[in-house]
Amino acid sequence: MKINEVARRLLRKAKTIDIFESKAGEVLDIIITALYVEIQAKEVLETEAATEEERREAEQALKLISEVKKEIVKQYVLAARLSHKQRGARRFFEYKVHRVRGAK
Amino acid sequence: MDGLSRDEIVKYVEELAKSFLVKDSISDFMKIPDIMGIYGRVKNDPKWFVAENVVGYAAYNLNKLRSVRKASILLDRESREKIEALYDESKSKIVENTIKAIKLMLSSDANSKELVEILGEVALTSTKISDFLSYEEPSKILNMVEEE
Repeated sequence: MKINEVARRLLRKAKTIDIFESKAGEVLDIIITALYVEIQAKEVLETEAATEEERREAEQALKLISEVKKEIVKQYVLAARLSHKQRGARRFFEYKVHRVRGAK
Repeated sequence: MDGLSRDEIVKYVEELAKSFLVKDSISDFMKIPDIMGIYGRVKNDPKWFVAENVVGYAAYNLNKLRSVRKASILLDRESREKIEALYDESKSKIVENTIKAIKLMLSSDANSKELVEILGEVALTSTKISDFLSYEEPSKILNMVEEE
């Protein structure tokens, strides 16, 4: 599958994921795959032999990955605002943030 | 866990992976993310928690695919072949990259870019499985199997 297509799918997942309901691994899959696609896309752009089409796909992938990152942050911010409505949810959220921070 | 040497940990994990590859014992493979979590806590090293979750979620998805595969007699030949191919390909890719990630994390020259690339392969494979499981037919079978 082309990297821009993977990035498009990731963005769709990031937009629909429910931070509270999902498993930590599910969120991390999006984050790690996004970082992985970002590395791949940057490598394509640094390759002199890359074709115009490959460059275009890589550039598109990078734009989409930037959207994925923003979307994940937005989801966590929204989850934090909603947390008071769910008993115990904040603790659960903080647990997940702790896990995601571990990714840095 | 802290008492085991790096080589002993790799050897133990490889035995668990072999048991999964040869005997299809997924419960043995599921011990690997647990080991990663324990090691991460002992060493207080966050990269192990990320790996624990990525590999753990891949094992969870593989287990679901395995359930669908068991009941694949309900599907047509083409779908059965697709499941077999996806299961075999995913299984070997996840195992291979999990071992690579563990070896890299245990080595002193662990490089985060390389680790992201290895775990990225696991995460991508895991995403492919969950995408497949969300299709109508596999999800119907999965619901039937899980209800039993």
